[in-house]
Amino acid sequence: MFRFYTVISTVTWILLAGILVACGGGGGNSSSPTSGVSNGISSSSTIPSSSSAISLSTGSQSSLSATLTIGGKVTFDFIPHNTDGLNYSAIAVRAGRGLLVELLDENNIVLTTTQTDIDGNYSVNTTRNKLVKVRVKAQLLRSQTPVWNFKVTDNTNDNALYSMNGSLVAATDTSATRNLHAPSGWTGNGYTELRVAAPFAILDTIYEGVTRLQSAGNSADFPALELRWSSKNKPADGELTLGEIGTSFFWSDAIYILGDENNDTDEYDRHVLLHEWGHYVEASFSRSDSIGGDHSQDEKLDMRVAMSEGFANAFSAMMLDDVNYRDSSGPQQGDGFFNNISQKNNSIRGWYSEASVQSILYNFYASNTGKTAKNFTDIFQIINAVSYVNSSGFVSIYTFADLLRKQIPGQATIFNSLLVEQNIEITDEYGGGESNSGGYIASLPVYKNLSLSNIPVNVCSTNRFGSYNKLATSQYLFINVNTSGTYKFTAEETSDSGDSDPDLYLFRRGSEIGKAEGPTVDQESVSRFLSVGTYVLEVMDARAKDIDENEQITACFDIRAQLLN
Amino acid sequence: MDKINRISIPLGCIAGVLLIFLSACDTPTVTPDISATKRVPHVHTVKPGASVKLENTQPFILSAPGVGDLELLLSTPQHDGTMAVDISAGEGLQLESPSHYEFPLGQLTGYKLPLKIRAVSEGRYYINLRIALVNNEQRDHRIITAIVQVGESVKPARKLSSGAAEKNNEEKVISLPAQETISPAK
Repeated sequence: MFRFYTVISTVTWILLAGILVACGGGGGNSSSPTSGVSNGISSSSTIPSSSSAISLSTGSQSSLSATLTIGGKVTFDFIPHNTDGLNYSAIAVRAGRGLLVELLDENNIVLTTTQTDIDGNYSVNTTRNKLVKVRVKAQLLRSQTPVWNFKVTDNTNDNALYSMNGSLVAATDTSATRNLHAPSGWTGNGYTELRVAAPFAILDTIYEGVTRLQSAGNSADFPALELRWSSKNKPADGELTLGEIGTSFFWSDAIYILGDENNDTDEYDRHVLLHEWGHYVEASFSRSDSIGGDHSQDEKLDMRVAMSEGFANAFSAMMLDDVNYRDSSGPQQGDGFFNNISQKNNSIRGWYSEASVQSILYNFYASNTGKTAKNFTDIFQIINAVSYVNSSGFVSIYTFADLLRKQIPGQATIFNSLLVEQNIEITDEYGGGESNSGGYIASLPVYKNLSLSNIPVNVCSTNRFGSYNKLATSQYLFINVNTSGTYKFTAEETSDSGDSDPDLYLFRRGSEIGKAEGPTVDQESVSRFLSVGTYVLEVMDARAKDIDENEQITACFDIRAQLLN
Repeated sequence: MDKINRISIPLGCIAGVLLIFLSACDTPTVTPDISATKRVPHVHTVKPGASVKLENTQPFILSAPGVGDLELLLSTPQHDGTMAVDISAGEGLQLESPSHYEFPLGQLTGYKLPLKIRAVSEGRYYINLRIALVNNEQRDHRIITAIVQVGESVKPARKLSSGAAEKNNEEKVISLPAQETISPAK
């Protein structure tokens, strides 16, 4: 027994000794960043040397609690615009809101986490005298409903997550306040230092959008999203991992963002960021039927593209309450352009115009006639509505207008006047009765009704306004199925446009349920079992879709549908 | 009774199974429309700006360092106004041809930019085009970068210029240095 107690006592003393040694040893920054740039720790700081920071005076220890609160403020450099480009003479320090903050030990083990508040403040508890450092991740993370997880990562570095780190310093009363700032890296003539602020500037713009969406009544979880930015991201179409991203864009679960200095950067172009985030919002909380592709305000677009791009432009202006969409570029980011989203006298006006859609949506948003001005709630509740998401036709300005008139009848007059100003008729959700053909009569009616009795309807696909995603490249046919069964749809050319290549796409509430893209010249067919309901058949000549096609193509087809069994 | 129950249960099961098979016979041979998929765009959209694109297949290839000629081809659906292009070579490349071009719009065949470039070593380089489409008061911009591969196409060594990426459990994290101020508790 005595021997047992002796062993225990020995072990206990060994353990105690070990603890004392651990507390007194180590020190220094064993996991300092490898960038070689100074941490820029203020001379006003009173960082104790590692050995003295760790000393445990039994006399003082008895009056101190075992835990200590480490806290401070997280900020970043924000660079505003002047007329076109970025204004480096007006760099402002802004609070890093909603950011994930971690306290790490000397082995980079995460001891505790928290988030900054709307003023950028954070606080965490830790063991007194423990060597710790603060790390702020470029991440907005919320784990209770509605959840969100937005991260800024580097697509040229295995999508690694950006963070900024403080120094490894013992947790004492004299080191309890730790403010971390992300500098822009701009030193007067260029980014000669690390662009630490860029990821945090991007996230702050997203935070703004999240806040506005919550205020508008959103209660659903946000799908996880990565914002992929690198100083290597340039407007070259090539390898994404090399930064050859082509442009800033949204795709699937990521937004890619340009960062090429003296060429094209977007980390401070908040309208650009929110435009892309607007596409994310469409995909996550609403519906977009856009087929993507090039687009501009001076083009006549496929109405699905016009709606999606016009919405995204208007959305960016709404979230920032700034009508001037700005995009900086060029040497020292001093060039660029801006576009007044609320402008009404657009050169292209109609249901196929991105400029018209953005003007209508933004001016409705800003209106205070019978409503609160600049309240996104009305618009969000329309695009988030079940009937909007389940619309039988493609989502267009008609879809939005029709539902607005139903949901907010008191605003119908105002909204209708905005439509008329943009040469858009007051119609049903399918554009029935529209008279603006965009200069090509075969683009009307917007939807042709297709009988299921094998009676042909003639439609024409053309690239006269451009290829792939322009007005009249595709034609839409509306199908009402009253009897379930297998139906066959055929296309046969009736014009003399050379070797045409009709393609057929069948949709149910915006989702593709069948397609035919065969190589047969002048003909195409597709069969599908269809339940009772409404469908849309999209018809196009593949040559009109081809962005490499140099010839102007107009091909017309007889479209038929019949019940097989 | 007990015997009747013992017989009726299996008969009931058989009947149920038969009913299931009979109802299945009414199912069409073509799979019902239950797996609609959201159509993914063929291409993602570009951010707003001038509608102009580079028609050439990329990257441009120079087999070895030295001087090379290449012709860039731009296209735009716009027919009115002018297109101005300012060209600059990225790091490692020198431009030895004019750096500014202007075109009246309306050409069907595209707009050609004949360039002479010099690369001193193998690698992957870039040529930046700042493009403005001007029509009366309307001015739209687009930046396009062309890729030039000199020599063998190899993935360049990754430069950790933006901070070391370290493994943190499952997640790879880039550690950038904060400007930190440390002071006593408030």
